Amino acid sequence: MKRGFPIAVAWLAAVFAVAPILWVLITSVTPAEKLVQGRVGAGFSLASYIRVLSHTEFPLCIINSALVALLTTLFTLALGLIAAYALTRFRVVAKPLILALLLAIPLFPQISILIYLYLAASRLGLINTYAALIVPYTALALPLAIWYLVAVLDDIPRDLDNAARLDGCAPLRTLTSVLMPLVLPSMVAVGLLVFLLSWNEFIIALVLTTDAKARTAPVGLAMFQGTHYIPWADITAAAVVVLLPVVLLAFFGQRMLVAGLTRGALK
Amino acid sequence: MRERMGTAAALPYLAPALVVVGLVVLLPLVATVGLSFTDAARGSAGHFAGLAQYAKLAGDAGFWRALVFTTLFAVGTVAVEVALGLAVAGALVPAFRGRGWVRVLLLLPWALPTVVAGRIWEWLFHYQYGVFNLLLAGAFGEGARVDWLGSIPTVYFSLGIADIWKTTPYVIILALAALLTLDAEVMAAARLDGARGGFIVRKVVLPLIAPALLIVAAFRLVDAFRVFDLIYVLTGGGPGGSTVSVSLYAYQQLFAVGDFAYAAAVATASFAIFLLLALAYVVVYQRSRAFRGGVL
Repeated sequence: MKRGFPIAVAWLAAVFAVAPILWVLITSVTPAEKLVQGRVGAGFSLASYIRVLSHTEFPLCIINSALVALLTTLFTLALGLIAAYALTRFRVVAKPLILALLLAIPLFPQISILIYLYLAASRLGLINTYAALIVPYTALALPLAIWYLVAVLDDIPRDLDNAARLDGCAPLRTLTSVLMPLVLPSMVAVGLLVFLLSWNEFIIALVLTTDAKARTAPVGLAMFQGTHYIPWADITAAAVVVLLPVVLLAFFGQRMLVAGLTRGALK
Repeated sequence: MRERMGTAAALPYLAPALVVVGLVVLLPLVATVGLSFTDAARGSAGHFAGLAQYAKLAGDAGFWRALVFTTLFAVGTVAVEVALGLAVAGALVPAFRGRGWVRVLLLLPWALPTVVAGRIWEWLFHYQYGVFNLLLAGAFGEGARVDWLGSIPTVYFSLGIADIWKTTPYVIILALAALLTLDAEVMAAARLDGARGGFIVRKVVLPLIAPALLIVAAFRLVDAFRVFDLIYVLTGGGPGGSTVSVSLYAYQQLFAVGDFAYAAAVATASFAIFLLLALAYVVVYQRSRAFRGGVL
């Protein structure tokens, strides 16, 4: 009894977490004519997926999202690593202040920069471009990467740097050939988290894209009307397509995601 | 050799990150505040207008309604999420068969896009085909259907459930991480001293993880205050503007109304709220540290 109660609580929470996702999955493979009768789960059909992936602009949204998230991740890791290197291997004035200010960046309301970003992007003709998304995403993800990598680089003894320097290594060379192999697992962890955040981002993409072909997957999904007389067959199929990579990431990268999340927040 | 390692030498490495952050965060922040002192609108560059937008803000019932709604939404959901998250995290501390699976499954709502969460709950709450109304109608007849998203105050409950579903996992993950750092020896010592379960939780565990809980609650609170995605998808601010958040209100002023300067004033107000919350967190954190310093 005493041990049984927490286990029941844990499983109840897990069921509450998964049941809505499963219901949507079941809906997405229910034939549309069964859905209009309110018979979710009666029969099996992939017609919704075929419609969504071949008769709408949704596949373009998926490609946009994948490219934007991938490029954001690469830029964030590159800029974040050299910034973290500078913050740990040089004596930078006001380092605690810089880190504290960085922490605020992913937390403040995006709307307070978004109005200007929209006006500036309109003036520069950047609406509907990848650059208009990648640059803000990188800026908002950088603090996370810097915090994480500063903590990791701080744990690596300076003797390694000194040895490399005595061997005639320039600082950048020290970073790429001595330190980087050591921080590579951490970069994968933080990279997964950045990819996830970029893949999921909505409000910036909503404001900075107007063309249906330039939308990211979340914006495409939010705007998705469905192509059928009961659009929910298609909407749920589109939702499953968007959450599939996330579920895979959660299953195979669970440890790294949790590490990235907790290390960023609690250290 | 020493002076080579100073701030000046570090600058080339810091510059790319600082430039990106400055261009995307600092410049727009300042420019938005500046814009709020003009009368710029769609199709008109605008001139300096002093505090005109803020005078309008002070007397704008729509803005105050959004602010009250956002505050109640944030405080209400975060209170439930922290309590619930802590309870589930506590249940995940002792090892049991299947714990790994429970943890992965609990990660899912946090990991998926908020838009997907919005679409999921929109479907569950659907009047005609949603699972809740199918069950209600099946059990009690057609009259038992509930207009989950289209009636007040039911819509507040529906939004709250969706948000709690989406973000409690975040609290669970972080609370569990804090609980797992607790020193096994401290717990063993408390037990040896004859302390019982409830006492240990209240007097040993909670004080030890209080700083971590405080920061999780602070993160959640500022995040709930800027809520946009979930509401945009689930209710669009309806019915009758009853669920318009501050961020959504600024967005509507920007696009639906085209009043750039006023949208900037609303956005600046929302940034001011963020600063106040951040400041409150710092004060509470310092106090709690001073308090514990006095005890130990």
